[in-house]
Amino acid sequence: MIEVIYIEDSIAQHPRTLAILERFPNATPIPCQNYKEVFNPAGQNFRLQKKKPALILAEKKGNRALPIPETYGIGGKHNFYFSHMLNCLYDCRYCFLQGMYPSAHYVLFVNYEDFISDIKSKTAQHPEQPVWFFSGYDCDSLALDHLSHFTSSFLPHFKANPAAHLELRTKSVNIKPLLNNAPLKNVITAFSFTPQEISTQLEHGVPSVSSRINAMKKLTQSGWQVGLRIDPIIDCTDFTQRYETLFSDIFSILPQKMIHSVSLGAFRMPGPFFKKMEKLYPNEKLFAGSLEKKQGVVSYKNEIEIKRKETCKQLLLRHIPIEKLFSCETTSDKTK
Amino acid sequence: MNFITAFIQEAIPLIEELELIKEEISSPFILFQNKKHRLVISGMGAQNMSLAVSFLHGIYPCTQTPWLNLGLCGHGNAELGDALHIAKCQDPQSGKTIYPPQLFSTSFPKAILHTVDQPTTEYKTDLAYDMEGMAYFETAIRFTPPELVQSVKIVSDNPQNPFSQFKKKQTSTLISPHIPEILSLISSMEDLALELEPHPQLSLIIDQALALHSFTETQFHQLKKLTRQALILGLTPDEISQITQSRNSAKSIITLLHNQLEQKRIFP
Repeated sequence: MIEVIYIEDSIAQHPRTLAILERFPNATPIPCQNYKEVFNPAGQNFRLQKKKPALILAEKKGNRALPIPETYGIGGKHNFYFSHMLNCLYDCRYCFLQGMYPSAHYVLFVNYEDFISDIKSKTAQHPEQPVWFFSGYDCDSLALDHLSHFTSSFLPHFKANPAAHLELRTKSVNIKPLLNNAPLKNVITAFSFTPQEISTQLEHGVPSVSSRINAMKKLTQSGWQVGLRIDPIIDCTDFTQRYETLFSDIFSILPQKMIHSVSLGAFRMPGPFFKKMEKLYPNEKLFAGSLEKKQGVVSYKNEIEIKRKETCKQLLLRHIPIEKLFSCETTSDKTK
Repeated sequence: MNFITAFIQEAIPLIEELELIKEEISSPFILFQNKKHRLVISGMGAQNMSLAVSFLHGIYPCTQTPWLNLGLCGHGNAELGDALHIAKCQDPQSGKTIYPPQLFSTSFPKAILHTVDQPTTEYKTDLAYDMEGMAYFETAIRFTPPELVQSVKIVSDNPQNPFSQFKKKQTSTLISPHIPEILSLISSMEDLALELEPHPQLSLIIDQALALHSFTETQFHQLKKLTRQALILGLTPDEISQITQSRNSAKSIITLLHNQLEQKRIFP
């Protein structure tokens, strides 16, 4: 339950701000000049704040659509990410957000029109080719949709602009906003998975694997394309059996033709983020794994990472053609 | 847990409830305490508050201790005796603003506090006024996570009942009715702080090893990290102690610990 809503002065009268305040009549609104006054101060404890994050309503200024890392695409040539929100409803222990942000408060940028304008302009720069926009890098695209109304605000734009492609990345089963709309060929909903045994231990608050598979099924039955994000891959006991079960469970339910793409990414974390996360959760077993720091990035030892990715790749290729499989690389020394 | 009030009258209900005992120590500040709690009377104004917080931290230099400031305030429209949970503190003179994170549910309304140099005679709607709040927050968050630094203010004056009419002897009467809710807040803060406590055996094991062998600074950090990981990965404190006692150098302890953990590092 949100008890406090911080509101940037510049958007205090924005219609979206007023609508959100109406939805939380018991929350105390606290004005601020800039969301960074609340979000950025040093010394905040992400772990403690995660117990009860506040909501910050703000205006996103500057660049709103930024290029993604070169190796993170899913087949498109021009790829951008945008963050209408910072931070996530869920509490996944491997998530880089807890290492990157000083605060666990949810920041919602209410000036959607400016995001859409930037998306239009980036799309117009490449009139002959599809341009991809990824919405779930700094938040879960769907988990807080009841609060943000993000999907219903952005889908009409993508409906009107088929050259612009949208990836909604999520672990949520909150698919109602999509089911309320006719499917769009240029919008895919990508679900992230680890095997249930890992999810139970590391993905706090996340719906079960089976309920996420069920949500994917409902989407595909309604004509929506879906994606699979096996990222991060977690080295664990019974690795092959657990991932094999996960993939079998998914592909026994979903028609392959409705799966747009599958991507694989090993656990990886910028060194300073990892250091902060380890300090926040000193008793977390994940962080005591066979990890090493290379070129400023903490990841599994090379031999483990290569082996585990290859295992996943081979298991996935039993279900999908190689054209649909993508690998997210961080450093150039990692082999595919 | 640490408590700070500006005046003794503001502290009395808490001293009585928590059965705090006055310490006979030579210091510029009056200190009350029991086994779990410490309370200091700062005196009026920002400088005194800042010094008192530092003084109390010096007595008990723990970085996970919750802090609560309890005191009186003026307010533009709240009733006398209303209790307020401070969610934003501003110093209008310096322009500084602090937003203490609000993780604790109380029935007290959230409020914005202005810290001023002198008791105010001009009250603005929806604003509380005190003379120590900013100094309290600014100093205490240097010592402990800001989530564990909270302030509750009780309204002692407002436009209809200005500060000039306030009698100090009314203080306890204003604060006492809120003590049950304040105790509940204290309990929640203490519970949350427990989450930041390190493994109880960690420092014991490390101290034992340090007593037996000489460690360089780097080796000390390695030992600390490996011991912490050993406890996470299922080695018992006795098993770790056996390793530290069975070797004759810091280097060999670290190597052995490292080797012992290698097989246990896979995630369950």
